[in-house]
Amino acid sequence: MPYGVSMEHTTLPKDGSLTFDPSGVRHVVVAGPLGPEVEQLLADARSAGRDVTLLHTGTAGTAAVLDKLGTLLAEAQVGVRVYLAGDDGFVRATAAVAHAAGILDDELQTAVTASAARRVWCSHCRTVTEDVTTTVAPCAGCGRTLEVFHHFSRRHGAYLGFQADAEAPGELPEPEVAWP
Amino acid sequence: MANSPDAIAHFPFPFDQDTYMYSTNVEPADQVRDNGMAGWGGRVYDVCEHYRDEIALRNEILARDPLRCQVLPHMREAAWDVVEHATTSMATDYPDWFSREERGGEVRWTNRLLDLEQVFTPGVEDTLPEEPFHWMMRQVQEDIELLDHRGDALYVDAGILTFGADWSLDFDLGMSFLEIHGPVPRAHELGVFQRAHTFLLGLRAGQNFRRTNWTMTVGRRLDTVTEVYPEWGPDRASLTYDEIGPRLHLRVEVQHFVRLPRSNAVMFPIRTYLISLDELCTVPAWSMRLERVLASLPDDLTDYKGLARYRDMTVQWLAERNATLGATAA
Amino acid sequence: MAVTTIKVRVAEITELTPEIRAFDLVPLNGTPLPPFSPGSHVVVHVPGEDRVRKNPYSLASSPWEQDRYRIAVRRIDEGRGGSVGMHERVRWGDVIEIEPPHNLFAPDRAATRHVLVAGGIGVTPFVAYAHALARDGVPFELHYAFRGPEHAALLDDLAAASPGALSTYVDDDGTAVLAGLRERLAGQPLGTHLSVCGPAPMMDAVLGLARELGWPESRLHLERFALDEAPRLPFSVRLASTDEVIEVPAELTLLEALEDRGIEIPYLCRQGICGECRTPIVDGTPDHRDIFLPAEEHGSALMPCVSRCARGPLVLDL
Ligand code: HEM
Ligand code: FES
Repeated sequence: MPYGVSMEHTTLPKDGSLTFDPSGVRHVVVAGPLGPEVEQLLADARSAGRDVTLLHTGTAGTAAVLDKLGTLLAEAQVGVRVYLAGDDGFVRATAAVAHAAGILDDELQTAVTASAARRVWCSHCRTVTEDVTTTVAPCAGCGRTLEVFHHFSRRHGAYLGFQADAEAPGELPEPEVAWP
Repeated sequence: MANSPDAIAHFPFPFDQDTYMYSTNVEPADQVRDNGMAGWGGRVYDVCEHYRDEIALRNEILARDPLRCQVLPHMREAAWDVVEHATTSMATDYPDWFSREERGGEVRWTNRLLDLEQVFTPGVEDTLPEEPFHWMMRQVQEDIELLDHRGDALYVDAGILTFGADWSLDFDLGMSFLEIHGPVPRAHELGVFQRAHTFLLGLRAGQNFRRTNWTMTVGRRLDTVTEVYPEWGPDRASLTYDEIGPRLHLRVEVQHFVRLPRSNAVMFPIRTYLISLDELCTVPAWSMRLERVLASLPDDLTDYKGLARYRDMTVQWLAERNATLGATAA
Repeated sequence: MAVTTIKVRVAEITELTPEIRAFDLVPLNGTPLPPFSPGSHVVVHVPGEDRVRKNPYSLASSPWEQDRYRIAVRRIDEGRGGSVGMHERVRWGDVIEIEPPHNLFAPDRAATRHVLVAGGIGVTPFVAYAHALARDGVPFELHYAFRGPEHAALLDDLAAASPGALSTYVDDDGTAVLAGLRERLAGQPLGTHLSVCGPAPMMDAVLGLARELGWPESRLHLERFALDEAPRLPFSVRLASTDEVIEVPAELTLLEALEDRGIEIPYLCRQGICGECRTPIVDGTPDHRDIFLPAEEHGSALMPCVSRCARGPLVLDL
């Protein structure tokens, strides 16, 4: 980690495992795709006799799931709890949709159950590049080589990226596979 | 756009010791601060000799990149608070240049420096040519961030950043005070942000505070936000020893903390001052102190502030200058 | 930083109910009073028999009125005497001192809708809320419970500020308002926040109902306007540095007793909320009555603006 930045104080998302929250009255589970963690959550909710809505990428693409989640939350009422599981990119994108719809931190649980590959926001052209696994990677928008910084925006659902060789063109750090 | 001798005499030279480390360096904002010369501070909005140039630059930047200035919908009241605060303060502090008359719920605002006159009704958007915060920001030299106070946290939910020091408002918008400082090394462990946070949550209307922050910039360039890093980044590598005097600048931000009365938001104006090292060396006490501060600055702070490529060479340059200054003085 | 007080004239005293009086405060020389945000209070320096008491009262008028502040004060005979002082010693035309408005109960501005619930005198902050929300076009509903029609204060002010948003309940023990709220709290759109101000048992019941209906903590907001209900007994403290012993009589707070001895402790809220007056202790067990101090500091500090002594001798690190 650069210059002794302590990780607990950064904006990097803190994920956990998904546990059924009995204080909620309605539960929305978003999975990309289904896995044992989500199956367990669904079982717990059912045995508690609670109303659960499941959205997952097994039946629809990620874009359709994001869309569906947005519509669903636009009509949701206080009492709802949202659970997100999948790879890092999927979880951050769905969390951004949930936050934009007004979901607060204590109504949301996240778990990264698959690849840790990141979504990276290019600060120069503002394109989000999906599935970034290396500390230095090309931007899908402007093609600049970006350094992925330890700063995360919930609003964009993405990590900060900036041109890695802006000061001396071609002077690039060695890319490391950090988020397989 | 060099500084006049008068501007130099009022420069907010930020070091009162020979070493620098982060601290919760906030102080009441109503007094003039001694800098060994003519002093600085005492006003939230500082209108100086660069006013028209900097306003023109801001307008250019906003035309190129409208996302440099953003106001989330729930910050509407805070935006009007800024209009009231800025017009009232500027008319009081600079009666020759600005005036504000309120009659029957209407305000007549005159800005003689920009040759502008506007009658508006506070709280009624239609009476201004554009969104109120944007309108006001085209008339002050400060970048201003607005923090919404919700629960036990402050969120940067509106702001402008045209003269920022390597961060991005569009990326940081919506973050809490503690989140936005995530990338800063050491200060969290020192408890700086925890204390600053408690202080800001209790900030009262009418009791303004301020602090300084600093870094260095190659070229007299105000717009060094992350978005345009490819434009200004190369300057860091191309700086040569012989160019240090005219090209390298000490960059000081005077930041204010103001509780806005109607929205309960915290207003955070950041005013950026640049002084070339040639200009700075006209005050020997400053050049000597800067040499010692730079020489002893810990590597992590040097790196974070982006000085690593030229710090050593600058210390050497200052040492040489200071030796001549000492010789002349003796 | 010391707070500078504002001198205001009592322009009007209105008998709102047998127990509640409204005081309209106006500036002395025509300079407008400071603007404020809904939920703000002013600390009034209430003249007392022997000493001035500093009591916080919510501003119960429109934030856009700068030529008048309105506060409403319920007389509590068994209280600390501030409210009795307001009722007995403050007269029409008097000049009194107030501290500028400060807010510890601001509405959540990111909320897209508000449910406001008031019991009795707890309705005061919602007058300003109603004005501000109506002006911003943010939908809200206000549920207001009182013990009997003769105890309903500020109904006209509320009806003017919130046409169509007001429901009232005549209620002695909270059953009526809880029955009404059950339905209202069950179907609120995501983005709604709930704010409650009233007697502690009522607030607990309303928040309990909301939790049962799935409301998370971050959507719940409360103002404990009622002064602490636990009995206040006299006690004494010792200062570690000088061994000076200071008596704190029942009617004073520890903070007030220290101030009377010329010991200035920084403060903001005087309500155990802000954390400003935190004072370290070296011995004794405090009776913590604040909502600021984290549990892990309960053995090492106290908030003298509200907290007292559970088991002495209490020794302050001053
Ligand atoms: C009130 C609103 C404030 C805002 C919006 C704000 C914002 C920021 C931002 C965006 C950065 C750059 C972080 C990055 O690298 O991305 C920063 C840096 C920093 N801030 Fe703040 N800040 C505020 C108040 C304060 C206060 C009260 C302190 C008190 C100590 C403080 C201390 C610092 C320090 C020490 C740095 C590192 C600067 C450097 O080394 O160049 N800030 N701030
Ligand atoms: S003065 Fe605020 S906690 Fe005591």
